[in-house]
Amino acid sequence: MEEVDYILNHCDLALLKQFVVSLEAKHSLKIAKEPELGLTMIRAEDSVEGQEFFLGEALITDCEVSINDTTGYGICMGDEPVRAYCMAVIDTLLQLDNNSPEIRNFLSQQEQVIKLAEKVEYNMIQRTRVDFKMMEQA
Amino acid sequence: MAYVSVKGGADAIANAKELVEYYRLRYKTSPIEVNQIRTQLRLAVDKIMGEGSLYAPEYAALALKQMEGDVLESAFVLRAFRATLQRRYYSDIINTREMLVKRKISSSFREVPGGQVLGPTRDYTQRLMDADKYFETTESIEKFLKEFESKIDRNKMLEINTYDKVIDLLKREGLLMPVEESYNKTVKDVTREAIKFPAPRSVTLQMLARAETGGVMTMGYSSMRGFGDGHGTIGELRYGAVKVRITDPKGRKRYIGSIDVTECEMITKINTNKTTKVPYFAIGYGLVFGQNETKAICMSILDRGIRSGKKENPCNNQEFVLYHTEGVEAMGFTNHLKLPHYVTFQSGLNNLRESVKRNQQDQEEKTKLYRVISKQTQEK
Amino acid sequence: MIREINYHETFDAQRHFRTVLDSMARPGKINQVNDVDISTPDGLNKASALVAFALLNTDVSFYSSKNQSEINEYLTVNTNSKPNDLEKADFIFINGNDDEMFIYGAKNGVLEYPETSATIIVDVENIYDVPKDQTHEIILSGPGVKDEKVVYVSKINNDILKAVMEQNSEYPLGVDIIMTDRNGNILCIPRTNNFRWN
Repeated sequence: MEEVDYILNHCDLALLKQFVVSLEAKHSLKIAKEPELGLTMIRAEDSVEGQEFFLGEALITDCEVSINDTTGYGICMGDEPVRAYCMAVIDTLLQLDNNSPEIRNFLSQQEQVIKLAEKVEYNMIQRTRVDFKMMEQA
Repeated sequence: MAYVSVKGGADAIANAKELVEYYRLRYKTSPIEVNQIRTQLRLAVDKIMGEGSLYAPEYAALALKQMEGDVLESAFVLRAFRATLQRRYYSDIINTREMLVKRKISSSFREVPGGQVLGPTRDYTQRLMDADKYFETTESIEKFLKEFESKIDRNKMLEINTYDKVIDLLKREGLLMPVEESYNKTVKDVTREAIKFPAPRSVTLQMLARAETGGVMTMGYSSMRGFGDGHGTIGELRYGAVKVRITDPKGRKRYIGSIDVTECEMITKINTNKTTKVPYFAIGYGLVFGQNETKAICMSILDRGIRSGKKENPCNNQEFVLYHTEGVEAMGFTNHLKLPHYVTFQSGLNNLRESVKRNQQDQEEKTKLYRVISKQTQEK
Repeated sequence: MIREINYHETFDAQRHFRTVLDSMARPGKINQVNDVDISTPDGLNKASALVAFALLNTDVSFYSSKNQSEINEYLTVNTNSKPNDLEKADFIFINGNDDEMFIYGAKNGVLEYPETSATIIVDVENIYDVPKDQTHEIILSGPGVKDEKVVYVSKINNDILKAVMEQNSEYPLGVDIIMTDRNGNILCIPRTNNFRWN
């Protein structure tokens, strides 16, 4: 579930919206709860002794969609009504058919884009890793 | 202390509000886009989120625009905004060991898991004014980005890794101070109940995480200079993204996004446990929203100072530190002096006038008496 | 579908909260909480659900003595609250006919923080202010009641009333009761009240 959530949270919003619009046409979706702003309190712990504490809150948007008796939830950080709605729709549809080819296809395409961007950024950051051996050679 | 009610000031107040808007817009410069603030003033946005205690970069950026660049006022607006929203979830405890690291350094050890990764930092630059920034254009930005991105050879990229923490290595060697059994681990939420001092450590950590950066810095600095217990070394300082997970109404674990945090583990001097005579390191911990290294570092110094520092030193005093670094409270109380205190002052003024008058009368009496006595003395 | 789309989280909740407040302040006064169209799972009076929507949120937990599989989900989805064990729950939903052990098991606070006790919502069949067949008479007196007030409740187990009195015998420790019936009537008995029954 986390992989799906990860992709839907980080993929391009315009593409996601376009994809979900195409899905809407094929199913009788009902919005049980319109996307609404809310908060999650973020819990943290100190890394040494594990003392739990409250770090602060994060803004979230959540949405609930249903097809007959199946309900899906879309929850994401930020003020993102479209994204939360799209996540709820996909959650509902995956509950009805976890292997839906068109959804799985979309997800895997977007996953590649996201993973590539992350890898590029990681490599940019790695360029700033100190090479102590070079210091010693000089 | 009575505040004179502001009748007859209503018009002035409405006009002042308008005047502020006039001062913000009078030079007819192009409207600043919130997105520009969010992306190009990243560090201000991070500071506002940390002090406002709400991770919402878009709204922090909007607040900065609204408040004409006053970071603390922006944090205030963000806190007020937060108070209008419903808290529907509590996240799982975030795991900084799985952080997507952007910056990771240690001052205590040269060789650390994953190496010293400087990341995005100006620490090693000279603080020279860069006139080129004045003439930035869309073209110059695109040119820079194109050149920068071409420095990565997409065919030879490293796979993404996460790293062991330095303190985990110390722990394994048994060098870290064992946790005292008596220590109060209760988790309190300062946004849900009034806090009494002494408070458990969870309160220290929560309040420092949302404290005003300058205040935390002052206290941290004073601690290092001897008003606290001196100089530790950074075991590890990390800045990066951590995943946030919650449980949805169906009971399923959901990933809802990542937040950037700065984390600091401060190793302080070797202490000897008086009963067992075992030497060990003690750790202070700092964790804040966004990239705010000064605050994380000073938070970790204060965390340790409050727990085991000598109580005579003000920055080891929990109430002194936590109360006075709470930015919205501090700003509010100091600024409340601007409210009319006419009655207070008037009564003080009257008392002063009375006592000046009495003093003058006393002096006159004494002078008269002195003249009488001296005259009598002379006559004798 | 479980989520109640006719319910307004701000205006309905505020209105019902004020009604419960009024009932708590005037024990024995019968108020109505029945003006929103909802469909509750079996075993939960509509008024109890509406009281739950007004009072529960993610910071508190609840326990239901019956139909847990449906009621737990219903309350979680509509209030963001979470189910918990009887001994730890902040709000407890029981039937008037239930065994009194649900009352004895509820937390009744500690001297330093007496408000950390449970609030118990009891579903009965009918609440009247006039005598009727097959009802128990409950006579309320104490703060908020002028002299005495009598109410008539059907389908309530006497042992529950006894258990409540015992839980409240060490005031300020104790539990507070919100009673609802099938017609949307509510009646509150805070722990400050000395009640008798027949």
